[in-house]
Amino acid sequence: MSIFLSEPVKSKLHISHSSITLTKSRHEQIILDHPFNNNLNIFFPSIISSEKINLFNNDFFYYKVDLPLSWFIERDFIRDYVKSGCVVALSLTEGIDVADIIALDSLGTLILNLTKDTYEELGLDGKPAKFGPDKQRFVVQIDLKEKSLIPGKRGYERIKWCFNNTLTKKFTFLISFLKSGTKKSSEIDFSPFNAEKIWGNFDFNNICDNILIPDLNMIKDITNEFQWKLDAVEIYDWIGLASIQARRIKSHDQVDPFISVYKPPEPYSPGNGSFIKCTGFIPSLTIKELFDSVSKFLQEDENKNIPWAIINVWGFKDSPISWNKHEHGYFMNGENNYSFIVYNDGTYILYQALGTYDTYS
Amino acid sequence: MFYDLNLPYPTQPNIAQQQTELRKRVDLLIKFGYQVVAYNHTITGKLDKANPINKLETYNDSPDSPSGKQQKIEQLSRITVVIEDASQNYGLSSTNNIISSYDIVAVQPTNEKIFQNACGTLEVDIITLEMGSRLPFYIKHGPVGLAIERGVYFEICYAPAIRDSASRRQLISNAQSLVRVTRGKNIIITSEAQKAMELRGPYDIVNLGTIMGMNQAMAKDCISTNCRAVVMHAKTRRNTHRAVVSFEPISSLKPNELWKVGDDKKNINVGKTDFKGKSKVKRIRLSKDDEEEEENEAEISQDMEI
Repeated sequence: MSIFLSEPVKSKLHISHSSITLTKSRHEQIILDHPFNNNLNIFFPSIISSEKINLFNNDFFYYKVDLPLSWFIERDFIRDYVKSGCVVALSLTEGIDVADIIALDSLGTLILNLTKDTYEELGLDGKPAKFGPDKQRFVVQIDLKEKSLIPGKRGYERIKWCFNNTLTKKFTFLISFLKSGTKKSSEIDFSPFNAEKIWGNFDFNNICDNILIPDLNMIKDITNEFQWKLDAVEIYDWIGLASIQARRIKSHDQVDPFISVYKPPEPYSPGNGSFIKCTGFIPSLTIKELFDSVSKFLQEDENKNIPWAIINVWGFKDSPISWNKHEHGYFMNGENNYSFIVYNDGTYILYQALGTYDTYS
Repeated sequence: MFYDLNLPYPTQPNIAQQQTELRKRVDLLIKFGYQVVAYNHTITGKLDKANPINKLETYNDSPDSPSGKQQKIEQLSRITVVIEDASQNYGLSSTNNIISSYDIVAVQPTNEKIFQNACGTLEVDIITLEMGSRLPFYIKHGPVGLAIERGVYFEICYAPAIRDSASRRQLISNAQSLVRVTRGKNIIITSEAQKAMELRGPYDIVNLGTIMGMNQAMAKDCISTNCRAVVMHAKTRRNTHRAVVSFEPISSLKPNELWKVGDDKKNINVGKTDFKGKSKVKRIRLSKDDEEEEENEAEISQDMEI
């Protein structure tokens, strides 16, 4: 029927294989370039004692606050926060395919992903969005770290005038700030606006017992690339099921084959696992520190009886960028997730899942 | 933004039960993430009654408040005129007071001659067909092409397909032929749901659209971009002079929009503005496609004046 209509491109999954001991390893870059992280979980294929698991406690907090856009271009904000640390902000609205989204990425770029109506009233120069119907969304980028962005200059005055006259609406933002010295979450002074401070809380008591755990050593080395790809994708399925603690991977699961014929990738063995979970507006630096402590923990474990761990991170589906300022949108889904399988000798496998509308890769 | 441009308005809105039923449907639309709804009033025969549609009050929150998951939805009114007799004058022009009291005007032609007429000349925004039953005529390229050129949109209502299986079959086949003839252009998908049960979320409708022969991106346009075009088309038809200028009193501007009138007039006391003399000319921005259709409309109104 729909012969004359071309199908849109499909979602993508990138798999890479490397080691943290290599100097060219990209793992830090991958974590730090992904600014808007909504959800994190870490899986260990055994039960970890409570004093050891507290090694991974890494407190952070963020704010939920209603702000007008003019707040972001005030000199005090740029001097005290943008230039002396890492501020990340994302507006909470209906969705990037239906409403305006404002974001501030870790490099200090204010990104306005706007609907046609808002853009035409705004009066700032932007580019049409890469995705969606032709010329229905526009992206305006303002680099807050640029030297010419000072009061008195024409560009600054124009932006200020626009934020005071045309786009005066307040948006609800999630904001986190990490000082460059301490690399810890720090306070932001929002006066006169009322901000709600939210602590990111880690949940350490997630134990799944009697699950079937596949042998992840089979994809540790690439011998046959084609076969490795197939195996790696199957393992990714299993990671997904494990992260939602699905009953299909329980060792005593007896489900009607009409509902599911899933089997974990072979060879597998029964065992226990434990999870660390965290939801919120997680700063990338916190994730990087967690990654480091997980790989250190695996390497320093005396008996080497924990061969690997999995770190899953889910990005905000409606974020305007995924990795490294690459534009992101929402089609039928807005995935921008990544997962690391870290082995105890430093080897890791990285999965990056991206929705249809994404320019990364 | 997601639109549902056809929510049947209860015929006897005074009855409490029907009012709560309407509220239920609107609540569900908000929950699904729709941002615009149009209440539909269907008329067969002569246009003599005034607009019965009253917008629900609690949803008119100020649009300036930061948007979380608040209860707000833009409400429009729509009239659908069922035309059975081509020779009768239905008075479907913006000079008719009853017609201009509605935000959107739709027609439902019942035979081929009227369909051609509706596509070619009638001053409307939407052409709707009863797709739940067998159409009395084939949809042909010629008149449809004319309608697309004029910026008139065709409507597919999905609720009949949910109500029973016979009309589901008819609807899918009719919708497929419409998509084939229009090449997927100028189609909107609306609900026409009489109960809250018959409503579906936007992404489910996209999947439904793939059954009708569209791809996912086009189906998504049918509930977002295309509906926006319909609303814009209706606005230019109603509020503008020859689709070029519209007039608004200065007092309708909010305090933070006063810069639009220019520096010299900022001192005017808004409360005392003289409506006759000082009205503001507001330019309507037109995209290229819009411009073509506006020209057509301008011609039509010229003809009528002659």
